[in-house]
Amino acid sequence: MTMADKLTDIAKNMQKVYDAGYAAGAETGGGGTGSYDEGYADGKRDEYGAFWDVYQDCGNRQDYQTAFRGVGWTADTFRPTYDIATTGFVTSLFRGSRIAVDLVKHLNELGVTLDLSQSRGVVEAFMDSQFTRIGSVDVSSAASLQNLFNGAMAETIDELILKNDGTNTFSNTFSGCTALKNLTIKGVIGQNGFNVSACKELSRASIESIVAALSDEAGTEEVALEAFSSIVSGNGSDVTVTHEGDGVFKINGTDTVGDWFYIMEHFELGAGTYRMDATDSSKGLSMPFFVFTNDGISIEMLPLKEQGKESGSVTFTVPEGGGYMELLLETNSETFNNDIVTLKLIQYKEGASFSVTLSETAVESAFTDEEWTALKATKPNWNFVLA
Amino acid sequence: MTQRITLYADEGRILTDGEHFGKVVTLSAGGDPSRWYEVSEEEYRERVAKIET
Repeated sequence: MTMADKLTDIAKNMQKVYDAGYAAGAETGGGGTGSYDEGYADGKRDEYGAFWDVYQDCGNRQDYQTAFRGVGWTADTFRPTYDIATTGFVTSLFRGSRIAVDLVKHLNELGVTLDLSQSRGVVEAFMDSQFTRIGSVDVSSAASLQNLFNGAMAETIDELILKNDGTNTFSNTFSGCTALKNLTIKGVIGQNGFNVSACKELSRASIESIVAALSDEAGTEEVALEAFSSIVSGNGSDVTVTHEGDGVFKINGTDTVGDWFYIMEHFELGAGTYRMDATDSSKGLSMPFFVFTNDGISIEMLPLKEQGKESGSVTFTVPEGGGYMELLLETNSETFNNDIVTLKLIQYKEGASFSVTLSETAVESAFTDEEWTALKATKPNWNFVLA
Repeated sequence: MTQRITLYADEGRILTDGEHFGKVVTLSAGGDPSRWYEVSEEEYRERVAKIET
């Protein structure tokens, strides 16, 4: 055979040689049955799992400061394999990330959860993030919410769970959140600085949720309810009402005549704005409530609590010169067995200033003037700024 | 009856108490209107930019 013939044969057999070598290689390489691509994917998965094992300390990681910060984090790269439940800090957790998905859906698909409820520091956690929806964010263990959602592009934050004592502080928490439409607040807003003026498309329900969360106690002080006259039956029933002190009354006996009791008579008040809260364990009582000026002119007659309800509340203003209030309990032919009525009188401190700032556009889109006035009136201790 | 005071900024002006800004401010009951004053829109933008940096 000439050299030229040999070269021709080699060229013809080259593919056979390659195939035989590939088969032998695959066999000696562990007997893999899949293709090269499948093997590559297997290897990649192992490597990926190893990365998250290390990155999340096999689920034991507690401190997630800046963990997913920056443009390198996308829906393709943010694929944790362990629940993120931290007791430490999550400062700048997702700041500037490019994970442009529904975070709730994404985590559900990965089978993991995100729980910040024990995190002590959440500053800037979602700042400049690109999630379309952020689920429930529990910040009830954190103090400052500075820049928490500043610049975030989410349309929906399912829940923002605040502390119940109103001590979370706000600073640019929602600045630049121009896409935000849906926000539910749980817990209490009790500090200045809550500002959603950037959220021009915020829904009516979201605004109602914010107003409802505004602390009723901010800028108030409780007035001691001690000065009561003796409590006697007005119609002679067998019901007895006793004052246990501090606005707590105990009620016993059976009423067959439709009785009434003066439980507060000529209780003097200085000028100012007040709120009276009442509870009634029996739910059976009516509580007509009267406010007079000192010269005996009736200012208001309000139903503090209606029959069938467990609680009630009235807000009223006593003008310059002062006045007094009177309160009746009306029974409605019921039997009472150690039922309890509690009263609490709150005075709004003069000049106290707590402000919440909302988008004028959002408010005007969601409410009529009358509706907005009525909603604001539920929080007389707050200034409402429309910007 | 609870009396409330609402302040409206003039055209091109913004109300502030030094911390909050708005075109319309409804004071809390007993709130002090003298705490609020007007600034120009330019000053408003400068102040907000300063706060946010």
